[in-house]
Amino acid sequence: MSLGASGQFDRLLREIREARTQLPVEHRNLLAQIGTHEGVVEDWPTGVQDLFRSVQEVPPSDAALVNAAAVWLDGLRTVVFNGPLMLAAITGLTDTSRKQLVAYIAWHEYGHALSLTRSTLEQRRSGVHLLGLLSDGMRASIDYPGGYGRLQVFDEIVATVYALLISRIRTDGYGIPEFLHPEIVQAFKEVIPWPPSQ
Amino acid sequence: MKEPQTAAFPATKIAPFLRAVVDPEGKGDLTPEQAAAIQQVEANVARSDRRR
Repeated sequence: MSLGASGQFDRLLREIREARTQLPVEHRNLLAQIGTHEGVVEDWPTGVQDLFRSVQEVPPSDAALVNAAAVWLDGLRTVVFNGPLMLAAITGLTDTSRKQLVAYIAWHEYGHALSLTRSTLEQRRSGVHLLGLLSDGMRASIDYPGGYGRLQVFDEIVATVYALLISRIRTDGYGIPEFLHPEIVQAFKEVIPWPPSQ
Repeated sequence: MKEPQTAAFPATKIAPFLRAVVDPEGKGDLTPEQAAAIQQVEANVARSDRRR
């Protein structure tokens, strides 16, 4: 049975929320304390801007949203996913691959939410230095220099490492891969409890 | 008025990010299924980007 457009967005949101349930309890509790919500926006970017207008706040510009797959909206404590773009991106995947890749992206965004709300300015200042300590594959996934400013790099690193570690829990438990530089590991642990206590 | 603080995940970085998760050292340690799925995502995003 094929789903209509609205059903496809609903399915995507279910998959994102399911990925959240797979996070360690301690991290889910932290996300809840932050007041983190998630949503799939069908009418992008207007739908995101309407969220701000609905609470009488200035919306982000088209330029800040247009090429994004997902955005953390700090003031609303919400991560919103670009529904049309995400559905286009996962077109043609098997159900298993789709579910897995959506989960990776969701974990990245939840890691981002944790980092953005828990990291300090001092930690963010270390982002560009830490970027140089990442493996080539991981560094290539972070849009710097380019899309991110210097102070945004730290949160991107934490989000990427977070998705990596969560994806490995089933096979490696809470172990830290040896290829992660000790400074990266230390910085990550200062922001996100690892191993989680529950 | 000041624009709100946002942190965007660019669509063009979806595929590099997925590779970073499944093959973080860039050694080709991904299964054929994972490689095919990520290539598909990359092509889909590029197609979507051309349409916008």
